[in-house]
Amino acid sequence: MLTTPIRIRAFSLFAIWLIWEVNAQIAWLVPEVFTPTSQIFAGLAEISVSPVFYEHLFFTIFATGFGFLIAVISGTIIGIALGAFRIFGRAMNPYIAAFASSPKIIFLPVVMSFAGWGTETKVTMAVIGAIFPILLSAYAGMLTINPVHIRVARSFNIKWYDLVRKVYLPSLRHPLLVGFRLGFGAALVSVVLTEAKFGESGLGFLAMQYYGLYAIGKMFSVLVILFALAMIANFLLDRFATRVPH
Amino acid sequence: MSIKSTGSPGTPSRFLKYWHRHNSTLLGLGIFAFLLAIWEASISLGWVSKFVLTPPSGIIQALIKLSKNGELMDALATTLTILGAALGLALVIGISIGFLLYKNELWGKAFEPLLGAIFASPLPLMFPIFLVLFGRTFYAIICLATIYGSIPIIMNTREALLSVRRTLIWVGRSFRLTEVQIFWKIIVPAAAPLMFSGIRMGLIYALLGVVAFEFLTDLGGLGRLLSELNYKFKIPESFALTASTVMLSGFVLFLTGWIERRISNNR
Repeated sequence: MLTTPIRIRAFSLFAIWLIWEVNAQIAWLVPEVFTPTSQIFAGLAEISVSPVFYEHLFFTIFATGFGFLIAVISGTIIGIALGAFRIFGRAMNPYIAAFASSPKIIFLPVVMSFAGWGTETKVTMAVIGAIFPILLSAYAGMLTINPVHIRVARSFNIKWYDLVRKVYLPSLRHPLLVGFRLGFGAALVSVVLTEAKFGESGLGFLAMQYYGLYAIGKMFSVLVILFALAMIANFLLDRFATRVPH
Repeated sequence: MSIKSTGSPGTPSRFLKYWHRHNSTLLGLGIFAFLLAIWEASISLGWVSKFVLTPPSGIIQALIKLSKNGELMDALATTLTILGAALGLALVIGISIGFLLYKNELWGKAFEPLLGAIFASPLPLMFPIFLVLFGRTFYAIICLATIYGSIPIIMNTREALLSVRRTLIWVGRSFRLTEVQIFWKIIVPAAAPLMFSGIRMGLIYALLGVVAFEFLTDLGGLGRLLSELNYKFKIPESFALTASTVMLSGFVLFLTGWIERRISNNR
């Protein structure tokens, strides 16, 4: 029966769901966590008709989207600049790597000291979360560009902005799309964790509010929506990537 | 540029030789120092309020204060203990599952995309589940960091074992080595560099998980201390602790990178 990878995957997911559901029904192991899936769906149905939920959803999507957009523009520009001027790229690489590998949520107190408690903080945190994967992908992509293409372009006395537009950006499409996918996930995580810690709005705040009220079914519903958001964004970027010609 | 030594003509000076060997490092240090100087000047000249942005000199003073009263060292020790426990568990789980998925090719192929999807998903958002499961305890942090750290270890262990060239194994068999000897004397050393890349990623992800979760739950070491300082509006200390955490991440990255290069060179 389990003779193909797809069958094994389907069987494994079904087995996990079955164990979860049986455990939830007989309330054997930590029933507070393993709430029945019917309860999670009921929670989803309940919060999806609440206008307050859409307000929170809007705040999260706005902060993530706006921060992501800023990170896309600035990360691409910095990545291209560091790749074009290799010595600067090599010089700054250890510092960028140290920042990129640190947990971004630790920058929240620093950001709050100049951006306050509002949406600006969430947007800034989204930028901090998303910029590093985008910047590093752009930089790594720049290092793989065939130098012959650049020499040929230069031999035609091409202007720098045409070099960026006609040589760099077309060669960077795929590395950049990988960076965008990683960056969007990082932006969403940064925004939701900020909301969970200090926010007064957004899905992170809503999840923590349900956790505080011990409404675990509803908390799971919010988490399901967050994962769905990340998956939809990933799917859309993936679709976009497959349409971009090689 | 024509800096020449005072000795034999045409011989580059010691400075030039040093510059050619370490130009990117020196330039990086120069840019870093320049940015710090601008930061310091912008506050001393009153362009930016010191209540908004702490100058680098203030951060150093706060760092010394935190080190002297022992808060920083205690927090660092707690974070490293939790990280050690999470990494230890992630290593056991990651290498075992990675090995099982290598031995069973079909199951390995089946689970590879699932693991990739889990790795790409925003896993830290699962933190409320761990809070419900374990309460506000160190176990919650260890469990989340273990899961976060073990996925790259599983994926890289399987990939590393699969990447060992068949020729090496055939050579071992021609010398009549047993399967156990082939595994320990050929497969493991050949797979070590790629396996270590996974362990390195696992360590970095576990550190991310530990500090982020500490910060969110006000529990544990560096993350908890940062949250506490922030609540008390101790801005210079908050900046100092953020800088310390970035330096810790940088140090972990540098150290594991160095070990990785050593393993690759000693193959």
